[in-house]
Amino acid sequence: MIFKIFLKRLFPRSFDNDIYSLPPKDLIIRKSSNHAGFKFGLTLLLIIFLFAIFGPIILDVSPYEQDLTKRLLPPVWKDGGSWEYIFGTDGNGRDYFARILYGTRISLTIGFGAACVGMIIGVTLGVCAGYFGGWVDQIVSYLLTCQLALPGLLLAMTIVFLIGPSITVVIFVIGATHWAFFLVVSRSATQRIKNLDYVTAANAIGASKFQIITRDIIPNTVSQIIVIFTLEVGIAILNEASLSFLGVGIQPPTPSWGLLIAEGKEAIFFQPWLIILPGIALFILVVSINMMGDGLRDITDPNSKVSDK
Amino acid sequence: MNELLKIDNLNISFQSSGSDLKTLKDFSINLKERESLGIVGESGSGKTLSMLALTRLLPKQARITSGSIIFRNKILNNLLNKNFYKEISGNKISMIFQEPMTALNPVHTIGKQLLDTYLYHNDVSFEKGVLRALEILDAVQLSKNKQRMEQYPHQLSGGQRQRVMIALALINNPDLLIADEPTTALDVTVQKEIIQLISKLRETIGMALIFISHDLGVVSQISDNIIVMKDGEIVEKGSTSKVLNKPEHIYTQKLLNCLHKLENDQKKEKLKNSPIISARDISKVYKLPAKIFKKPEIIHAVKNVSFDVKTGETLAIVGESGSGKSTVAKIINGLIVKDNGEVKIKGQDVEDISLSRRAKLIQPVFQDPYSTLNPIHTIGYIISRPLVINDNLSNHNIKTKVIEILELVGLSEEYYNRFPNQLSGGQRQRVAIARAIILKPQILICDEPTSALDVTIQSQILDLLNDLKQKLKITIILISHDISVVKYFSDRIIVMYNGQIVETGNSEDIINNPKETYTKKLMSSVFSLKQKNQILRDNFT
Repeated sequence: MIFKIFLKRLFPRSFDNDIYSLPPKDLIIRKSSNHAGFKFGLTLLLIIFLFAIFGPIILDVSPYEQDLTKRLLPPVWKDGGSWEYIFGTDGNGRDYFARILYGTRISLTIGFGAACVGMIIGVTLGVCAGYFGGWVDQIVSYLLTCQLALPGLLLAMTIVFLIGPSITVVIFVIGATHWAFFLVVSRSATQRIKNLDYVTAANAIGASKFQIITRDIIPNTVSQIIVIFTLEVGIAILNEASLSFLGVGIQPPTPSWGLLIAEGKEAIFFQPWLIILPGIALFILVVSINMMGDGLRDITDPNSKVSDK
Repeated sequence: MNELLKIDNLNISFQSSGSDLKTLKDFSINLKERESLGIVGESGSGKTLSMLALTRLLPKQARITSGSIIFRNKILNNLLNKNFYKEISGNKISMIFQEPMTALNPVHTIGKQLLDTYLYHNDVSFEKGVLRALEILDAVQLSKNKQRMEQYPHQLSGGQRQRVMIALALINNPDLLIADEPTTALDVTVQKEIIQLISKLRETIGMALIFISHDLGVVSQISDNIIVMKDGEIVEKGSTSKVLNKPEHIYTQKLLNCLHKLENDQKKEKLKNSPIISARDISKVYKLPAKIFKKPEIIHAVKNVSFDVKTGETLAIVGESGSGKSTVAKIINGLIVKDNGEVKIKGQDVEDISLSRRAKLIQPVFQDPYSTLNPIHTIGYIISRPLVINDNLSNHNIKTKVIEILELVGLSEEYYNRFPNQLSGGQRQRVAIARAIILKPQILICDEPTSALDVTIQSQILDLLNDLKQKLKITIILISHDISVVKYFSDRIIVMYNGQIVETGNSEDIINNPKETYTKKLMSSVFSLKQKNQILRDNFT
């Protein structure tokens, strides 16, 4: 409701009564104001982004500063917890809330970065394979088979181990091992679309292959790619967590959620919040991204009807 | 004669997001034993819905709000589902659907599907069931009926499948057969055979028939009485001759006008211009992907086709589906690379012409109004795109040109920012035509431009094409399976069958004195309002 009022203020034209004469942009705004899942996911994700950007600035507590006299303090809702350390402290006496906040930045950067890398590789290969067919398709299919046959995590571990860990390396390695979904989806969508009459018509009006791919084919695969993209953001975030947990991802003392879980695993029976809290953070972030992705698919699908509820 | 079926004030509404949408309003019919009733209407007029209500096959969102259905003095509304399916459905009332491709279960043999239906309703031995199944397959004139029992649906052609569907519907000797557009998905020549078959079986079995179709010509051949529906209401009912000769409602008159217009000949001038397109010996072969230990299968889509198109004429290419007519069109347009032969437009090989010059010479219009426009672009963008690609014009000039063209095809300026999904089928087809003519091409290739549209809209689109032809002096190549459209529109006809040209000539000659046997068969399959009762006559000779 608040979301809708907010949107009505910003884009009054989108809420004209005659929905059929709306320009494209307003139509999407109008549709998004009616999609509960999208609104929820987007709001949650925006809050997480705000936390990630402004949280560390406002809080002004270093996630690296150690105080060994205050080791393993419980969070505020437990006996012995205090408001000074809301989420308690870890084994080295560092503020756990500050560490999780900093970890949000890392997770978001790696999640979106790696999914972008994967999307660029996968969609380029997929669209080319689908549109040109023939030997291009055979080569791409061979690449795909190789990619699917390789154990992704193991490969990522090896590469990171060889090059040496840093955030950029982790982003590219995760991206380079996660393009199979993008390829499969964009290839089959392209194969379907390229036989439709509007592509033939574009050919007849003299559009070049590049124009057909960028104007007719890719825009029509966007709604499917977005869903894969959000799925992959979630997977990449979890992957980073696994890599960090195994010690080849983000290196300590940088606070990444996977690393926090790895560090907390020794205390699992006595201080379980050390694992549960970053786990919950991971869960909320991935759920909000997936909900927003599903919503985006419904909104950008030109065949879905505008409805007012 | 006794009354068989009586439907009184049937109302059906669809529930969608809180509001009820009335889709069938006060539908009442009376049907006597052995009577045949035709229901005519456009898509969405509720003609199928009324019959689905009778057979309890309504979609979940639909609800019968009021009205009664009485079959043989028995009120069907209150009958339990269990008893309804055991006693009435498939036994006393059976139904044939439009798509023979999807109505049969692909994993069971024809024999099993026939036996299932028979043994469910009759307490007889398996052997007797087999005998009955063979008998009914014989009755629907399916040859080699013993072999057919062992076959699966995919081994049969469309016409054969529809025969199996009819056999399935008739195996229990129903009192009422409902045929919902049984011939729409079939080729014209097969269409006639199926209608003759239904008509003959009705006589021999002595059942009543409800025949649903959008085609008044077909319905008038087979039914005693006709109901015309529009927007969920019956607008006209009466005997066939009364509806055809003295229609009362405006909509029926409009429908008949569309048909009559197509039947009357236009005055055509004989053209003696030079050929603008000359096609020589064009061939196209499709290879199916090779399987292990098997040679790749080769399909000859087009075999050695040669013809000329003269400047300013309208040439029609006629044939059944699979005859290669669309492939020929795409080859001429340069959209498919041919294997052999040459196509010259104004003396230049079509494959050597630059994209932009070709776009200004020749443009296509396609059949399916739903896939012809890119759903993510606005109408304005779609129509302006040929100009953006091929001409250097300012944005303002482009917009004024697009609006000019929109008005020329009968759409107003307000459509500029709309999306294809906000338009009806007829409007989409107008946009597709606008896109094709904005570059002022000299040749327009129309591939079944009207066959996916309702009858009244079909005639509007044909009028528009005719209008444009006169205004812009375009050469038109029309591809169609519908002889009445071709007759109305074309100067010359090419008849194609199995990828080859069977016959060529002026349209009057071909339609009135066809020479080849295939052309004769094709021409005789046209249902017109004039040759009424021809089917019955055919049956007895």
